[in-house]
Amino acid sequence: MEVLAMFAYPLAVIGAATCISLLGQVAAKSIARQPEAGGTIQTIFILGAAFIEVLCLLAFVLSLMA
Amino acid sequence: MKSVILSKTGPITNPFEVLPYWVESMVGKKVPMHVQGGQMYIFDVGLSVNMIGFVLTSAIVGFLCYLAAKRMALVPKGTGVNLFELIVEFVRNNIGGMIHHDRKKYEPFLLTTFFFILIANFIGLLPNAKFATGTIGATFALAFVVYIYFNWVGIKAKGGWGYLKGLSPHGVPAVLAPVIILIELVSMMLRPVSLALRLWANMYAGHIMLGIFALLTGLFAQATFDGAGAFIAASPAWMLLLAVIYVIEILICVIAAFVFTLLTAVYIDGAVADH
Repeated sequence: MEVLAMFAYPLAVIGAATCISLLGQVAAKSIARQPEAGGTIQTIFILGAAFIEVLCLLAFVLSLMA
Repeated sequence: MKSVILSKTGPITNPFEVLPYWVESMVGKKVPMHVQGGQMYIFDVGLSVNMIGFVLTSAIVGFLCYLAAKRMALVPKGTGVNLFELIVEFVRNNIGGMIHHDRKKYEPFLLTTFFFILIANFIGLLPNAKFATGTIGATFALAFVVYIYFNWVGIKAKGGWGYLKGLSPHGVPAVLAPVIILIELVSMMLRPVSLALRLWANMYAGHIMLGIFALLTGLFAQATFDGAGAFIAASPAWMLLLAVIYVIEILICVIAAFVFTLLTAVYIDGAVADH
């Protein structure tokens, strides 16, 4: 039963990687459209990526605990 | 008090076992501390190595800031001071830019948080270092301080009742306001927890990965020496991966500090803004 905990992390990575890639795509496109807003868009991107990455890392750490 | 270890006759085989008792005999009369079962208790709170790392980080941050402030000038000269001013400008512009109203009052707190987390993370990169952000207790303490700070700032800027009323956005009928305030309060409870978990999980997971790659390097080399085949070809590969992840870890250290301070600024802005 402890082996099942190993499957938690890859499942979490699927969601996190997909969503962060979408975020990066939108960020790159919007910077290409308006380069003056580069600083703001970069901030928004890193903020969003941090929120999503928390969930992924939580899955990693919790799967090690059990 | 005399313990068995203090009055033991014979050579000291493990100094670290004996150290708490000797520290107690030196310090114990001025500060209420006692040693029990090989662990130090100061003010009836058990001391662990990560707490010492926390205090050490604070001391190092204070010392570095003192060194940099001594050379504060209109045109600073020297590498260390310029690096320091670069970081200060970065925090003031990019992170302080999130606060639209009365930015100068909140800059010291943001700068302190950023520098503390940055240096604590960098100390954790040294081998075998007991670093401050590696335990959930220390990061939760930081997040709790941030929570109290932005609530305090909001109440000071708007008044207690005005702060609660400002939680619901404009243009909402007055009947719905209590429900929305309740929902906002509940989501505000989640903020320190998420801040703490984000910082801790970033650092801890990174260190676990570093440890795993280091262990694998040793294991593969050991397997070859034990005669299990030609595994030694894979051992330098793990070492290379370890080096790559180490470099990525440096980036993650900076990003984790940046995100923590950025969210602090966003919360302060949310508490202080005049819609």
